[in-house]
Amino acid sequence: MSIPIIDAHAHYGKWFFPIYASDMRSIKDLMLRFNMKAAICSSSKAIVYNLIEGNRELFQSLDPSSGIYGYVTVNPNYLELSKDETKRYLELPEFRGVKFHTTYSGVPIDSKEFRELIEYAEPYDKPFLLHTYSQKDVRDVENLAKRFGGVKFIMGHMGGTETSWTGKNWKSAISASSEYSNIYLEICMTHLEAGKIEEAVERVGSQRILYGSDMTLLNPAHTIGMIMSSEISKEDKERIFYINARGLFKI
Amino acid sequence: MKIADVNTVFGFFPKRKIDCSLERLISLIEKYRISKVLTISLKSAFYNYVEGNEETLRVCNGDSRLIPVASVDPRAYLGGLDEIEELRKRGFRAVRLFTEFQSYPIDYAPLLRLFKNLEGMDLPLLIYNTGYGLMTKVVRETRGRGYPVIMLGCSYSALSEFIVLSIENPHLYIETSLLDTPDAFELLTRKVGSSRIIFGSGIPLNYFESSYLMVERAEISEHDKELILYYNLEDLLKGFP
Repeated sequence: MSIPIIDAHAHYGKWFFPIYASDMRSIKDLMLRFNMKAAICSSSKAIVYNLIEGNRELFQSLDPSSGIYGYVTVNPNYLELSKDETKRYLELPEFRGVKFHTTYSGVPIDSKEFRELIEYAEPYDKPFLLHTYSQKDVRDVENLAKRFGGVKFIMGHMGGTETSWTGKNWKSAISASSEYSNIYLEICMTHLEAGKIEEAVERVGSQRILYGSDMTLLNPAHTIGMIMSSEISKEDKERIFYINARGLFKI
Repeated sequence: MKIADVNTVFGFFPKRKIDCSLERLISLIEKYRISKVLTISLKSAFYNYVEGNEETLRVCNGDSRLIPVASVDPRAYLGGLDEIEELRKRGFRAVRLFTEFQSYPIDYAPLLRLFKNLEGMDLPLLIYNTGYGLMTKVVRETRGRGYPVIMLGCSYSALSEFIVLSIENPHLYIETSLLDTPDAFELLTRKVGSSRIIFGSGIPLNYFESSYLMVERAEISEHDKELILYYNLEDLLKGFP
């Protein structure tokens, strides 16, 4: 890979699948293998289990000198704790954003609790990475983007895919992003549906599309290959791989 | 490295606008220098498998890079053995089930009959993995019948199921297009051996380089990569035409 990469959607920690490349050394190896200059990681433990333990372990492992930055993970089921976590970590330069996963917490993206957390974190001026894997998730992000015009929202997985094979989730995400300039699209997902990146670039423009790997769950090559295969210009690829994230995360 | 792709299609895709034409498939084969592809008309998946099979044979006859795959849609299959024997005689080299589009369960009488009728045909069976437990049921129904089963569309959620099953079921293989964990190839090579991994991309419905890059950048030997990308499929088919 000659093009440098910033990974806007990475994780640190284990998953409940047979994956052994989950520690910081593995992340650094993967970054080297794929010419990644930086990766913004959230804790898998904080997402699927305990936000306090997970955020703490992530903080102890971050290494900005190697390009490894963090998202603080919030769980609106624990509103006050999430506010404490936000305050504790977003003040630090190692943390470049907030991560929220609606599926594992069971809290909708456009919920009273999460809106309260956004209001709390807004002064830090750091983006929110939101897991989106349904049309409802996309609609929820649209609502938030409208309500919080000064906050930047990253739609993780670009709305995702579903078993209908229609692409309707990511098509909805593209529509939402074309409507609201504070919605960014991050494109990693297991399914490799050809054409989605071209459609996103055509309708949104490459300036608000971000490369994300989803490592340590997914292989960085998976999404790199999607971008390499997509029929867009070299300049668009450079923006998606590197330039957009450098600006968004102030790296 | 030479590439043989077990998972390609052509035709018309009704679920979203995308060019799946034969011309598009061939342009990708040429762009990525793929030597051989197993391919099948999408007409078999969405309309009528008998007509789809005719179309597949017709287009493959004119191009030695294209290896014809037949389909049988259990929703229309009446259980005839002659029909399956005919597929082999007419030159099909594998049979594919479109579980991802056709939504029938594995425990379904016409499908169980098909599993039985494929015995002795020496045709690999390709099945798309649609969720936890499907592979377990497929293996249970095909064990000891003498033909290989290649599971398509397996991602991180299918890894443990495949590894546990493959150790005791030598007829089970995995296709690579969605093997998307950071160390899937290293793990599978170590646990079950590279001989059970078959390269597939899903073009033109999928982006090709995702599948290819995951093999190319895996930390396994060059020999293992060659087996995965080409020679395992050649062995399974007992040679390419």
